[in-house]
Amino acid sequence: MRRTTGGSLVVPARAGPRAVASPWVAVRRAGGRAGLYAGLTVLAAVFLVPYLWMVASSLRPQVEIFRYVSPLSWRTFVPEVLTFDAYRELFRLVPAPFSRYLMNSVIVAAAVTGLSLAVNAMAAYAFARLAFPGRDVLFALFLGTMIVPFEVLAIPLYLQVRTLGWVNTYQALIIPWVANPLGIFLLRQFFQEIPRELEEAARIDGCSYFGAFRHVVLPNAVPALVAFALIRFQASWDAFLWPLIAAPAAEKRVIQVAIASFVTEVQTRWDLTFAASTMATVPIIVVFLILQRYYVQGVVMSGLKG
Amino acid sequence: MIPGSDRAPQTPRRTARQSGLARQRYAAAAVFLLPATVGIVLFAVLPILQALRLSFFDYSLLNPQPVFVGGANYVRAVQDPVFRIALRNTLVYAGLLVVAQTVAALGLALALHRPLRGLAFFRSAFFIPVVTSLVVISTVWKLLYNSQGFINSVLQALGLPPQPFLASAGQALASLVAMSAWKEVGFYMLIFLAGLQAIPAELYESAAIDGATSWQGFWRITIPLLRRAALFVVVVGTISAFKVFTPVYLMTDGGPADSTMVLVFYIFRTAFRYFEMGFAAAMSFLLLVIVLVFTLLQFRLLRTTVEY
Repeated sequence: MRRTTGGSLVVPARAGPRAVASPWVAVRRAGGRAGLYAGLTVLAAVFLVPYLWMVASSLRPQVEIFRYVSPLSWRTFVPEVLTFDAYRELFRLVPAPFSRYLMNSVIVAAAVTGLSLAVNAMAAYAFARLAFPGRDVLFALFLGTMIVPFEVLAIPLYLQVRTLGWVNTYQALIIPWVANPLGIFLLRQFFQEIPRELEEAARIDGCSYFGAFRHVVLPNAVPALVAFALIRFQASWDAFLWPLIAAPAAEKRVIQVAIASFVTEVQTRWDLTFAASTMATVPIIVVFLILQRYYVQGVVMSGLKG
Repeated sequence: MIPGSDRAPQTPRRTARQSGLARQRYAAAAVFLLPATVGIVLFAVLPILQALRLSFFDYSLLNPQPVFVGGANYVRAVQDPVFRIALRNTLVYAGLLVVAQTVAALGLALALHRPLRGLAFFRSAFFIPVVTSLVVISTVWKLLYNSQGFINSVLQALGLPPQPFLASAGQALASLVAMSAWKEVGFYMLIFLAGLQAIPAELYESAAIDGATSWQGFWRITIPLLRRAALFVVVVGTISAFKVFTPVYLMTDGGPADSTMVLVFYIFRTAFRYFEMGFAAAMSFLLLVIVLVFTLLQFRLLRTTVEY
């Protein structure tokens, strides 16, 4: 059972209201348990099979992808000819190799994550600890902007970016996504729970506000910062509508736009599409599985404290 | 957290030293808040105002001379048959999706809220689509839904007739709903799991002592105390459903016969294929109003004052 800092997500065995009254109840429960397992296993297959098929299809020649879909057999999932040709071809693509798109996505997501950690943690600290006149009004204004969906802002943002001459640049993909009201809200909640005495002790020892923030608050908020970083990284990695509008040129195209461009082409090369999708997906899933407890905590923080 | 405990201690008389400290604190707050404030003003507040202004102009990227037209763009939207279809499709999509994913997420959470071998595996399996991009999921599902695709071969193996899915005006929108529910359910499952975990075990124990059956416990304790989690699931689910774009762009292009034409896709097409920025901005604002109205309604309906 995993432990999360904010309390374990999975509740330990609870006795529950019922007590086993007779052997029949025990038998019925065992039967129910088997049924539960069967149901969960089928459901898990429904969630995992598309991934298996995606990875398998990326490892076979284009002609083989559709040959074994129907009728269903083990061949549907196991390539007859195992080949990395699709991956190899991706890295020789014209006008830009796939490594370019991959790098663009990594650069943008890393920059968004790093900058938004710094900027939003600082703002959250001010809202949590530094009383000043008008603070609550400013905080409400920040939160208010969260209600407006990005899709409503897409047009004016595009015009703004165009005026700045930022179309097809990294700035366009990074700068608008740094300040994040949800992040400020989440980190503020977390900072408020850090005992004030810790900071006061540091201040008495001659720390500046910035020193107290860096040496006391941040080290005590690592789980929240990791959770927020994961959420931001994923949001940036998965973003599609904005990069499609703001940076469609091959040179600055991110991985999601590149995959979409394969799909919307007249003759879709499905082997390339699956190989690209696998590369866009598998690393993220691995990172998620490793850092799951932080991520889950972030989701729960955003869900229940809101 | 005690309300107000994060405020500076109040004293009846401010000494010079204290006001010096206060000034020092204001200066620090200004520095800490500057980057975020600049970002939010430049990339959220100003664009909102600009979108509103733009919606009263006839402004095309092809002929960039904005002409003030008053409410004409709004009138045009309301009278536009495609806008009406897009609005209806979006409402149907959101309604079906929110019901499907909320019920499924609650079911999964209840199934997994118990000691179970392999719990971590099941939870991760249901959560993996949440951390997969919608572009990849739409791509893979486009082929799964193909007439000779994977889902049809499963139907065939089960002895069921094949379905047209995305190729039929009658099934395309529902097919998108099914895919989106598959992607999102793991996220909302986590919210419900956290909600279940927050219910104190003593409530069930004392109910059992009072002679309540576990069924009664479920309806009288579990469901009412999950209202806060349910409010979040429904509100966030509705807002995100109203913004659906990527699956339509990649899988159906709004068709067949406009059966999957949804608001954001129509706005995108108007703005970035036909370059009618003013009209698109007006439709964006209508979208915003709809989202706000639904959010407020849901808060009204599901608001809970129960504390535990």
